[in-house]
Amino acid sequence: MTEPKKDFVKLTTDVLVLQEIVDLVKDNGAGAITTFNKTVIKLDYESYIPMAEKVLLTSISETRSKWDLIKVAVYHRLGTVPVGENSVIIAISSVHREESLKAVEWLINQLKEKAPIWKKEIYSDGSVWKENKH
Amino acid sequence: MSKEFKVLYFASAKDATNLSSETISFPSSNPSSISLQELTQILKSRHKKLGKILEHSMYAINMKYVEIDDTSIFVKEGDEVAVIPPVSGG
Repeated sequence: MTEPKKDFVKLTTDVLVLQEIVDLVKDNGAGAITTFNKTVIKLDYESYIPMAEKVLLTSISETRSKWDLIKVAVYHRLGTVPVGENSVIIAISSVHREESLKAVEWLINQLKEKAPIWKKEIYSDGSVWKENKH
Repeated sequence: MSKEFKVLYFASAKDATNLSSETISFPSSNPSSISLQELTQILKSRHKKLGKILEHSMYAINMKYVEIDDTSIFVKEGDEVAVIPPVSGG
């Protein structure tokens, strides 16, 4: 028998729907689900997708070594993200809320620092690639 | 047939090269393995605009980050090298 899947990572040009990602981490044993989502002004994202998946799965496993978590989902949108839509959603379930609250904060920082994903801001007079500050 | 490695370009590196990837043959002087210093020289000579970007980038070799000046790392036949400008996900 295979264990039910507990880590979910996706880089996609599809619209990110918060409820669908919350549903992925729902668990009868979870006392809390913490989510992070960021909506954008119009941005363009690209990624080295297979490496980003690998980096994010490694980050999730590091997060799990720090806090006791049930399920973890990290979804990142790619391509052009229209105004008001989500660029990234993280959802984590845990028995106690402290764990998922801290884990979400740590994981979004890991993603911003390590995942090979780039955003380009689009202006009327041209576009510019951004750089995360750490 | 000469031995080759693959290079992927993202974000500003893609704009500077007008390429998302290319396959490069090893130089006849080092037909099966090159240092990262040699790699940087080869990439700069192929793409004039890339030099400035490489100053602030990392490489990933087979999806593992390496510092661009790491002298212990070599590129071998069949490797996938990526030029990784500063990331900005999230």
